[in-house]
Amino acid sequence: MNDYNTLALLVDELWLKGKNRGDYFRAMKENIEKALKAWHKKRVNVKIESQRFLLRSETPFTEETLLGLKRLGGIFQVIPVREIPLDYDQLMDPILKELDAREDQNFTFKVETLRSFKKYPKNSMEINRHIGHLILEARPNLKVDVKNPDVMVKIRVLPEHFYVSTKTLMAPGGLPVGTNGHLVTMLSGGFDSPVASYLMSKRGCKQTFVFYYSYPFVGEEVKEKIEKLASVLGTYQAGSKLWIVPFGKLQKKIAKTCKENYRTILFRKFMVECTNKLAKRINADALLTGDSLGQVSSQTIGNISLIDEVSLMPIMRPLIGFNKKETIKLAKEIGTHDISVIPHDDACSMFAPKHPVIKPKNDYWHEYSKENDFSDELNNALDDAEVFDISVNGLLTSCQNH
Amino acid sequence: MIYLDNAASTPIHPEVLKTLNESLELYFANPSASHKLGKTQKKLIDKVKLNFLSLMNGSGGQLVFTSSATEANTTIIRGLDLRAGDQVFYNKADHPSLVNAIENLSEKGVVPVAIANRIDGLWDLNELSEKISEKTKLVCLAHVNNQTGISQHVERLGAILKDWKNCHFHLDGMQAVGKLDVDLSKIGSSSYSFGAHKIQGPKGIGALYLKNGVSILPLLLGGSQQEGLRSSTENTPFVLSFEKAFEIVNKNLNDVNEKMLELNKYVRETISSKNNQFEFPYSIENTVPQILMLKIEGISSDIILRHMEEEDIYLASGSACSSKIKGYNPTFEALGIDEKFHKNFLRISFGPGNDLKQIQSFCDTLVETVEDLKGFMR
Repeated sequence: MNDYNTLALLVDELWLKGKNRGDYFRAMKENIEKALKAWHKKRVNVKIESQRFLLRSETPFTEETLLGLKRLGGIFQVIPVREIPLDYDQLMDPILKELDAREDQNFTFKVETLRSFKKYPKNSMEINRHIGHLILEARPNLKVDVKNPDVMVKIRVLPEHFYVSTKTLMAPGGLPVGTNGHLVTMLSGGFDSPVASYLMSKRGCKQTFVFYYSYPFVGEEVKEKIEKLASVLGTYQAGSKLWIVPFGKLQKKIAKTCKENYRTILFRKFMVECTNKLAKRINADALLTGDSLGQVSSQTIGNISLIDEVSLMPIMRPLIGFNKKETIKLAKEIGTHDISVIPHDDACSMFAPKHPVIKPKNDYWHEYSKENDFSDELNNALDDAEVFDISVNGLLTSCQNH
Repeated sequence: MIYLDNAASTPIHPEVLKTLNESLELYFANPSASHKLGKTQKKLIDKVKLNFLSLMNGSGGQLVFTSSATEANTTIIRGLDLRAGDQVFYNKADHPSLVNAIENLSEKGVVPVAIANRIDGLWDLNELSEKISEKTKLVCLAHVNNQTGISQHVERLGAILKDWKNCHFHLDGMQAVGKLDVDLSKIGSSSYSFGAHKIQGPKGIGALYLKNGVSILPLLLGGSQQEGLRSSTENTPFVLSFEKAFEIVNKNLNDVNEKMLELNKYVRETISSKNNQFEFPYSIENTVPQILMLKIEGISSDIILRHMEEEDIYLASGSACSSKIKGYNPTFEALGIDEKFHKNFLRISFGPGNDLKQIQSFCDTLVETVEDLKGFMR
């Protein structure tokens, strides 16, 4: 996989964008260039060729770079391509090389030619048939299957060269990060919030991650886990930030002053209030959580309504209709599952009431909220937060000016 | 700062630091060099070895400096060249450098046999005497347990093992040296390991005592330093610092122990009178005064640990080496402690830097913290 000097990146919805298309392509190009700078490090020529991005580098693209590129929102497919001079006799060698590189050697294939250079003397059907025949001759164990082939051998005919490809890496699709607003993503360490983050990355949302750190009720290992998650999620972004906000002291204060069965939902209330304050500080547009309706007591319709009441900004909940299994499946695909499963102490469960409130009474909630204004504490917590920059290749560095 | 994690590591003694600084500057040459600069060091190291042997009453034996007590333990466990079918007696309550290294031998067919612990934490020597046989080729145990502070009756074990000439008797004395007056001739063990950082010396140096006539295969091969028992350039500054730390700790042993006992008793009496959530599972008679294990029912020890840390008080919730494993603690299991309480233990380990005023302040803070937390924690 590591000797491709050319990559074709197919975009997803960008071509839908009518008059704004140029802006979207510019944002996409910027993100691609950022990713290349972080992952590939060598000089790359990025060109837009008939609505696709064509990346050419003198040093072959590494596996890492391919994985990095295939995480970018807005890209539909990453296709490693062999560029061959427009000489028909030179076509077979690289095709066989591609096929021989596969682990299994008893697969079916189909040749598909796209002749963009219409003046080329052979037409697509002729090329398909002839190349198919040559492959069968050279590798008799292979079979042709035109309906459902294991490998699609794609040949593209251009005025100066052929492009040959046999592999397609699926990317998230959607829109490039940065074209659809700025969210503050509330991370918890579980399965849900990272998946929610991924879903909104591919909808083009720039994100700032926030974690409410309940030290001294939980220890460093929880913070380390969040940093690992943010590092993975950062690779779906194009440069993001992580805020670790100290929350233990306030949590204790809340736990000591409120009715036991309201603890969890009140923790949430103040976290959401704090996230609103953060969003305002950094000019974000909305909040993002991993809520799924009815999954736990704080995610009942009643509790969600109360939380929405305190939030000045809209709260995006892309997992609202997800079942746990669906979330976990996606978590595995995006690479956060194995981090989310690491066991850690969870302050909320330490304080968890025996019978958390499911249908909260508005009266008590409002009374408590009125009597307990923790605005100053929340502002102080934000002032004391530890902030990290997350590069597109997932490196966290301490950020002093935030 | 109130530092109560001395069983994990101790602050370096100012005099040891002085020795270290001076010798780092002075002894830059290689002790194996043929010139004067090397030979002086070689002689110094040999002299230090003899000093250690004489202070521990192990004359006639051999001393090998290692990088740690873990290395010293592994050198014995691997270096005896045990064969399939041979039995090794060990204690699952001991430090992982014994337990893991011994259980690893089962890969080549050696049979690890876990000895039983009595409810008071002491070895069940009756059971051990019944189980031991010609097949038992190694008895490998810790003199003082690093988490509980239990000080074992090593001389009684030594007497039992005297009759088993083909059985190697190894003791890990990492937590014993500097807390007990270790007399190797009385114990009669075939080998004994210990290290510097528990006695106000630097981390990175340990020692292995081998009784006269004991032969082992080296762990490291190379330039055949230390009679071929441990290839590697000898670390003269660390050797000299180790000696210094050892001399200081043993010179003041009785006085210090008296002080430690006073602190230990103070904690036991004070906090249990204030709150019935505190419990001390092991008696003062069966433990070294420096290590005190405390059970606090109802609140996870990690949470208390971090609350104390916020007050600049440092202690441990298990041994540093195994504290990464959440909840379950193999030492506690081997001691017959129900798994649901594994998260409820704190280890307080006193050191020469502690005084009664500190300990009073520690007790107040601990009681306050627990009182504060117990109202709303599950």
